[in-house]
Amino acid sequence: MDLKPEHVSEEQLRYADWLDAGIKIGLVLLLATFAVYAAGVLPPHIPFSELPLVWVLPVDRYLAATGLPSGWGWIPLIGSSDMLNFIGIAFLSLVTIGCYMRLAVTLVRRGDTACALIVLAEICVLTLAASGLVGGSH
Amino acid sequence: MAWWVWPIVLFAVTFVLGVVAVLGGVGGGVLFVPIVSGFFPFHLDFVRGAGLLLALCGALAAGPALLRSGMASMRLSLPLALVGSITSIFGALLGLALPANVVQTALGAVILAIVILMLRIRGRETPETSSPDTLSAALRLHGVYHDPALGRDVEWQARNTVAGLATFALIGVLAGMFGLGAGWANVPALNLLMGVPLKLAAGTSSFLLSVIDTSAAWIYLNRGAMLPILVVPSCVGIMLGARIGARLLRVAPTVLIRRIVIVLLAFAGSRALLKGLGLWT
Repeated sequence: MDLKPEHVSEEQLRYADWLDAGIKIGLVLLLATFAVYAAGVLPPHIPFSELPLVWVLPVDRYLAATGLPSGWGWIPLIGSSDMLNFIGIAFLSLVTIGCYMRLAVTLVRRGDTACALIVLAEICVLTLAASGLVGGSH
Repeated sequence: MAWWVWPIVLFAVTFVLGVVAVLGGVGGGVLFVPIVSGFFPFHLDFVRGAGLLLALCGALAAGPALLRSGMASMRLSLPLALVGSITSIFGALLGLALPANVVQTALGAVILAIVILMLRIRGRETPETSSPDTLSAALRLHGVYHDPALGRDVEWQARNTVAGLATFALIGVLAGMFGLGAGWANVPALNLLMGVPLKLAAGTSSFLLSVIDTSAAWIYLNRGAMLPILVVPSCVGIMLGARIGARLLRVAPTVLIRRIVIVLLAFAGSRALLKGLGLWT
């Protein structure tokens, strides 16, 4: 692809740099934690042999059957190899919020009020979704 | 079947889906959700959660190159992503609250509607630049990008911004409810409704997905509807497949592959519809 940076704003280029770093770190985390899980280095919370019994259930019954918490309740359980995987999954789901925070700083400094307000509103929405306060957890 | 067979089969199937999705010009999620929910043993709740995460991973991975080359407009995305990410939360909550057979039936209907959309709608490479509406002018939703295929710079100006925002509100609901990437809807909305050139619409759609799918993915993640054994092989499979697909793009018969994608979607959509109605369990 022929690059034409004169048409690309500075904040868009910075966002791309942050996104690039975020996705690389996220993928490494995702693969590393799954390797630990699949190799059986640590014991999983749900034994592999029991997975087919619970993955057919709707999520509420799955949580009840496995005793797993919802929301951020997996954090105290990261000693289990299956819960360890949520580090990579959560990191990838946080990448956009991190990039938006960086973008907000740039837009506020530049005095681009309209876009800065939209970006700040988006950060609030994504943070609310990530917090588990909006119907995510029980 | 032994439990360990499923992640291996998932990886193989999603790898093929990744190749086919790129060559067919659709996102991986739109193929993944109906096919995996129709033919694999996982409950639809987990398939939708995984569908969102793999669409998110694909969009995040494509983002840096698209943004740096100017083939995606971040400024255009910001208001649309805000509306879409709010409504995708409601879509996710709705999808998790409804009975699985209702969601499965609706998923089948939506996939079949996408098939019709793909058959009937043709994009416009470079729509005529028109005068901006008030909101588009206020948010400065315009710009220039370089199109290597045309060998020139292309000016663009977004129009129908209010209608565009309303459309992205609906797209957000569908993305959250069904775990679909929604690129299939983003591109025609940006191109045909808002007058954004086709290539810029495709690039911007990918960036939009990285935001809209983030909010819905968090709802599924916080609810507990993410199974690592389903999510990780699928994400890795589809991303590797997409990389191979991108390399094959120049030599593969894309028209034929697009027809195969349409047939696949029609089959998977019919399967979802009939499974939801209890006619093909």
